[in-house]
Amino acid sequence: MPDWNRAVRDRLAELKLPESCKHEIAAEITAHLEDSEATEQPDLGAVNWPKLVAQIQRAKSHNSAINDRTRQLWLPGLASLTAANLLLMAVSSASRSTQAVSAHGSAAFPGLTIISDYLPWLAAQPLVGALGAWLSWRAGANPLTRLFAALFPSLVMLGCWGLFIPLSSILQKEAWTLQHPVYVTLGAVVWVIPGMMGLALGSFPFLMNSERSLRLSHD
Amino acid sequence: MAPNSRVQSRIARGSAELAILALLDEQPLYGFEIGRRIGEKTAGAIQFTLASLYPMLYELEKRGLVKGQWRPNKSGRDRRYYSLTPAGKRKLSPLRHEWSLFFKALDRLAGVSRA
Repeated sequence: MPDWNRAVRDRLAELKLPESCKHEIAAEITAHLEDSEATEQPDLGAVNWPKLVAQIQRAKSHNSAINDRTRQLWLPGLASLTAANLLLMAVSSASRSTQAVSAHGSAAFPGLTIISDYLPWLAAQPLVGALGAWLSWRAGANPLTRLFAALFPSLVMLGCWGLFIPLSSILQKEAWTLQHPVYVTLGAVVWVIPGMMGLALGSFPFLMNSERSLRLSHD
Repeated sequence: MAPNSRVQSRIARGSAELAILALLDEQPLYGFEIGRRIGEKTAGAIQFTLASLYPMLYELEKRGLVKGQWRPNKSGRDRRYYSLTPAGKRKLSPLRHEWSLFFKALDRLAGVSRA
């Protein structure tokens, strides 16, 4: 009987993996060859070993290990969150520049801040939602995951308003926030609900189109 | 890689993924048995070689869809049995649906069911 394990180990020697891992792979492939012997004589020459080693190396390498959840939800979600924050910063910055050169700053017209900051931010939310849903769609996510990726900035905002702000107010004993929960709730509603609707609107084309889900493999 | 061979490669890899996950949904199996049963169930239409099977299994394992575990088979020999993880089970249902859509689309396009 051939020493399959030795033959396999020799051929897998180029694998750059921990010895225990190489040993396990060799044992598994050896077992496969032993099982094959029952029906046919295994032909090691028929296997393209360098190619197999490269494929196993790639499959076993943890350096590029990004799982489906990360590719389909977390990365698109973080991308849309980053885009939403950059957008808010850009709008705020533009608004401050405009007010600086204007004789009527936000102190004179408080409503101006809302119009100059909030509305442009809100108007751009569909683009942000579209970005998150598109990235998720490209990664082969199902429609629900695409929606979550698109809504990610609003979900984070909801977490801030619902958890972070109340907790920090309690810890820092901010009397105003604690004494005006209605205003805080109103702020949360104004910043979360319309934004969420805008994000959902932008994601809509990518929720309906399921053809990309016919992705037939993972690159 | 030429575009058409890239598409073929994707089809092959995607179908292999579905075949393995669907088979492991029935029961845990080791590599040789996975290849044998897929060949048997598809009357040889889909066949795995040693070189195509293990990289695919390791990739599925890395993605958390299957889990390998050594244990003795019926003959008492240690074999690495693969089973579906909860993530693998969740993945299987939409994957089946996607392939169903794909075949329907292909049928509308090329009438493959009438061949």
